[in-house]
Amino acid sequence: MKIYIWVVIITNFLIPSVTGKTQVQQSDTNMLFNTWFLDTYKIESMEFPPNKREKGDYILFDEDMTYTSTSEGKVEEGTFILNTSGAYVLMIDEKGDKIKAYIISISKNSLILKYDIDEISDIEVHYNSSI
Amino acid sequence: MKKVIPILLMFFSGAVCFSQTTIDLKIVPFEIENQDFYIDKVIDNRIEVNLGVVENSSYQKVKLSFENGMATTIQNFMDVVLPKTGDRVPITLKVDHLKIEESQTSIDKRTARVYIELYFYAENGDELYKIAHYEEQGFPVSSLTEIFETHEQRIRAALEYCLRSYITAQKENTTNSLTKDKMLDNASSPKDASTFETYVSLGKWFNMLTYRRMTDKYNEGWNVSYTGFSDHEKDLIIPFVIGYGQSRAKSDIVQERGYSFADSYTLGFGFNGYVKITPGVYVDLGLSVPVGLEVLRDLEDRKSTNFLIGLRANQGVKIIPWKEYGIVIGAGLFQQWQTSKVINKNFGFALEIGVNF
Repeated sequence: MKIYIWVVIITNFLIPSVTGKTQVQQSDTNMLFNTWFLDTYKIESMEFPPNKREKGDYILFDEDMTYTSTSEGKVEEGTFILNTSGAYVLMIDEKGDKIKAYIISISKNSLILKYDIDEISDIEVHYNSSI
Repeated sequence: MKKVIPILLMFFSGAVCFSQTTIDLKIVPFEIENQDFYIDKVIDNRIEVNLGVVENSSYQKVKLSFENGMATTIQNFMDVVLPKTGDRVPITLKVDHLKIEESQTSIDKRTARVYIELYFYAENGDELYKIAHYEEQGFPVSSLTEIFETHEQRIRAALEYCLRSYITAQKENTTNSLTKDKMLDNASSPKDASTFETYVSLGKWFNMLTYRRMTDKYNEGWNVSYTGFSDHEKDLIIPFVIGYGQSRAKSDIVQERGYSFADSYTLGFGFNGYVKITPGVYVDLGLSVPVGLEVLRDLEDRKSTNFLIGLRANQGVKIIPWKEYGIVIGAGLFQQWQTSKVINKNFGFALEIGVNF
């Protein structure tokens, strides 16, 4: 049992240092169930504030695995699948279109996503929770 | 002579065979809520011996396989992720396919992918669920090291996706059965078409350098291009093309217009589409905007230049017989309109030869 715990702790420290990609922990997934408000965009070290139409945009991840989001004021709903090994959340909208967003980091107050869409795959999208 | 043959054989066998590398899955558990089953047995039903051929961080092609074999590796992983307890139902997992692939898929992007085909069986042998899924990830084109180190993570992500998909299907099926007949229907297998993606191989990236000779009623010219494209079976392949060309107006037409010679130098920017007819044979359709300069000398020996911009359409065939390294042969027709002082509209044919690598 002890060895198992140490293996888990060590591999969880090694993975970020080797691949530069964080593993999403199971406790993190409970943190995902929240309302996240769009804060800013970041490329490398430069920050870009969202445009006027995007003010108030948010994503709400519910515990029943459904999500609601607004993009430039337009509301979208659907279901989502969380993959902790791949550190991503896959959102499936009402039309059946899938959007994959890699979870770069998550905490009680902040969520950083990178969307798997060609044009914006390099952009970090920063969200804040209302708490 | 006797010594040379074994040395040559060694050299060639080393050149042709890829070296083998093994990987293992990091045992990083994830929580499954309300787990009511565990994996009792894993059957490796694959035809292939390896997981795939990929490039390592030194651009060398290596054959990947599991250090402890497929069945043991997945069983070890499942023993941690879905621990066995007394009240949980044993499930058998059959792996029909588990493939790792990676290839350049656009001029600035590499794609790494895992394809998995899993079957879930109850203790009595009934098929409960089947799923075939791609776990895909895009990277900048130079990220070979990061891609190589994360193959095992994509396998774990694929396994997690399949497990969660099975659990969701189980829940839906139980709910449906309960509301329908008010009895648990154990024998039904929910076959959702969207969870079974058939396998299509990740296309290879082709780089080509070609030299083209064009000729029409009024001009003769040549063009050198670099083309990069990701080969796939879908309708239209959009390659990345960048080229430079020169052409000279034939003397009789040039003189008719009052010049002793007219040379044009152009860079072409445009769109091509390839339609794959059969492996190695493509129909090439293109539209481009050649931009450049026309240098003229009139009959009084005065030099002048003219800005060239135009529109060019081409239709042709490209043959690429060898996938890895080989020659490229092309032939086609073109139609061109441009702001030339000598001749605006022309149409002709082109022959092309080059190499792919």
